[in-house]
Amino acid sequence: MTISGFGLGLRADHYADLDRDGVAVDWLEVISENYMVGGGRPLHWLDRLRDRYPMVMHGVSLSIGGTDPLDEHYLDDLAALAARVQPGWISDHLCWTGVGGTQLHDLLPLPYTDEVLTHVATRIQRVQDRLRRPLVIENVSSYVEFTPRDLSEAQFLRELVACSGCELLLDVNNVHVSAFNHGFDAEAFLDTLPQHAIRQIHLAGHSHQGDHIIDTHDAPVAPEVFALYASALRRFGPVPTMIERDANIPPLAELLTELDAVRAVAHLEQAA
Amino acid sequence: MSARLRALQQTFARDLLGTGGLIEPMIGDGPRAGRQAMADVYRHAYGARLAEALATDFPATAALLGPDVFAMAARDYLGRHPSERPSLRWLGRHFAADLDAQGLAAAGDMAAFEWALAKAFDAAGSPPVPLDTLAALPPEAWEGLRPAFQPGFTLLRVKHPVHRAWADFQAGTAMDLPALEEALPLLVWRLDLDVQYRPAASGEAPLVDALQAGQPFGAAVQALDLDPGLAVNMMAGWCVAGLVGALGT
Repeated sequence: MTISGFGLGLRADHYADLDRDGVAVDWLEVISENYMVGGGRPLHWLDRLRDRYPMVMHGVSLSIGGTDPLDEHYLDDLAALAARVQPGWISDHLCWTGVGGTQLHDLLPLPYTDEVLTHVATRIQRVQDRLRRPLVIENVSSYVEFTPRDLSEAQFLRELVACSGCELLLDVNNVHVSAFNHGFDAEAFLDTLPQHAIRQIHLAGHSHQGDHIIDTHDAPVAPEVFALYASALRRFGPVPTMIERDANIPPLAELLTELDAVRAVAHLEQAA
Repeated sequence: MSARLRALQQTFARDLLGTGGLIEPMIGDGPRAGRQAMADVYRHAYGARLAEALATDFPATAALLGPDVFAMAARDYLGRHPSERPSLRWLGRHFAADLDAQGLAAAGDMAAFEWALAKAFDAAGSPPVPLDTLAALPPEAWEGLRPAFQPGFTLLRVKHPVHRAWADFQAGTAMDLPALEEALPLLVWRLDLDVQYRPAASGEAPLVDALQAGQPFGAAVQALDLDPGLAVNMMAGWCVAGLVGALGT
């Protein structure tokens, strides 16, 4: 399946509005865990909207950087959902989400060391073998940096692609947030990533707290993030791009207007 | 596995789960904010995110308790029952029992009802057994009949009229939850895509209990000393309402 153009994260608030002809959305991203259920309304709408739109799957609980064994039940459910959705790709985050059997339900950062690189690459390869496809890994927003470290986050991602064969979901908002919080150069971050591996781009809103930024997904995409997005497109070309909105979810029409703004940025970059 | 990474994650998790102060020695200061302020982002997010998830899954319980008491109950619950499943969907599975154990009986009943609604909402299901199938059974087949209730079906026993309070909550009116003298059995299930609930009729709950325990229909009716015609009508009602997904013998 070919995924191209501009998409949205599928949210229950928009099920009915998406179920009609002529909606200017090229594809949808579904949160995998929301549909790893037995039946009812979630799977009804998933199947119905899958008939209309290509989809990709995006998870939040794989814990690819975790040190508990990979959850085989979770992988079975993920594989079963993939068989149902036939997604363009499956993504999750470069993070850990729990330890010792306790789930913390947050996208927690990793120390960027050679040892951790080997650990994560090995787990990615196991997941890829199980799902029979490359895993697409997203950079997270982070608020702390562990010391000592051997690599920058961007170098870690680049090496992860080389070691594991995974691909990348570039969250431009997360780059902006982490660059502000840790004081690195967002443009240099983009320069470090392997161009061929960028499979998808996320855009989202954040909350500026003065001396730090929190990734909240509850507001429109900020102008600084649009600028960094344009910069990313100059490097990586026309990558499928979507808006993530998880709180203060506006009517679909409002998100479609914002998606048009994303399209405009992309068209301007292509024309330049 | 990296032992160093595991130790780091265990320390980080202990901090988030309440110990505090363990993250700072492992991190550097930010360019603008100190390390404690940045670690606090994760500390705050953990409690806030999980409490919000509980409030989403238990809206009437939250309204019943009010924001302050609910926040305290949620925090205490998370301390006693940290999440063990990858999906937040299952975070609240012990919440009703926990509230009840803390002496919040009405809230515990409402939480049990809301959990049953959530279970029915997205549980697996199979097409309901049509009434015609039941009607076509030869008389001798009823004796050994074993109906399989839908996976999302729950028989709940509460000591407060939560079904009426839930309707009030949905209508935006004040909830009234007087304690009942006797436990009230409630049936909760899903028909097609819509969650259903109603109080059980007289004799219905024990029959459901017996059938769910694996007793065949004939033996259950006899053991409970139920009127056979009444029991047959109950079975027919379950089929019409979509509670029964299969008939075994």
